[in-house]
Amino acid sequence: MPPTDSELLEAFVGDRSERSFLALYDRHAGAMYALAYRLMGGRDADAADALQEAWTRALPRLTQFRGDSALRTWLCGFVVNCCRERFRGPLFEPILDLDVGERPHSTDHTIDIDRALATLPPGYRAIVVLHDVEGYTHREIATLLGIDEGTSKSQLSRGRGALRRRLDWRALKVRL
Amino acid sequence: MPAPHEPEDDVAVALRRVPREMTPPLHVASALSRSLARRRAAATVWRIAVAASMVMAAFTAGRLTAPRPAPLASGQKFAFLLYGGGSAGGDDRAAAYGAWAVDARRGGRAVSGERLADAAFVAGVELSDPAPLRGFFIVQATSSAEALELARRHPHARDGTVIVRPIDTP
Repeated sequence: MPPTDSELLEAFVGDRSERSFLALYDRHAGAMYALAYRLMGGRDADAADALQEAWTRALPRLTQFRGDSALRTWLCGFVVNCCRERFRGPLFEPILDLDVGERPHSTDHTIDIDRALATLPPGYRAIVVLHDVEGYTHREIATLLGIDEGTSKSQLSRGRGALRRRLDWRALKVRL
Repeated sequence: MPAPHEPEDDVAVALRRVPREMTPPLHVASALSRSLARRRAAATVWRIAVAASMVMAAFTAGRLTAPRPAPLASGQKFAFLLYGGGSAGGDDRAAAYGAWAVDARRGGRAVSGERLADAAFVAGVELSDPAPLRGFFIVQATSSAEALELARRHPHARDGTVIVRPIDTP
């Protein structure tokens, strides 16, 4: 039976060894990197930097983790903050122009969801990724991004609309 | 509004099915492992430096005067609390702190100190994200002004914060 997050955490805090660190890292880095990759619009070098910075910040604070949320959720909070800072400004900026997000003039029907996400403006992308991919609630998103819950809800709806216009629905439905 | 054959949540359904994990580049784990090793090495060097300087001071004091350094006539004890500061340059940092302690002892001040581990267990009301307390020194000085001057010369003050607190003795 694989060790629980608490057991991995306890082992790392106890000995700070590379082995116990890598056990924690291997369990969560994949999800953290996927989140960073999508928040950074598919820029893998920036996503890797954000992942490294997130772990660098989280490691000294692991003893302060109180288990109020899942460890992965707590770690992903560092990823969100690091991605925000890499944009050198708020990751979320309200977008009110409904014309933004027209489908690209392309005949490529194989455009996939990650590619479509990468073309969204960061404000839409952050909320769509956090809510629809990662499963955060609007309240959690509001806290993470420093916005109102209502804004999160309205921008999610617009973000989905913008994403829909970017996707080739015939191709998408085949995959579904 | 979406067409009837394109339900409102089709995008959300599709998004829920995308892979939640991706393989990160290998160099990230390597860089973090190296960083962790450097931190461990720095902690070890710090402990050795402080212990060595204390042993040297005790040995010198024991030879010349008494088993313990003679306190200053009107000396008062102060705690130097070392907050924040960068973690880079571990070897140089530990050596600089040890040299500072030795120098202070040569001036006739009893000095002891410890580096604190990263682990912190909170009891009672939790503070809101304080700067990490890295370590402390207990120093004897004749006045607050002299203690503050000593603290200003402490290498930790270059990139961290040294808070000087008189120790309250009855």
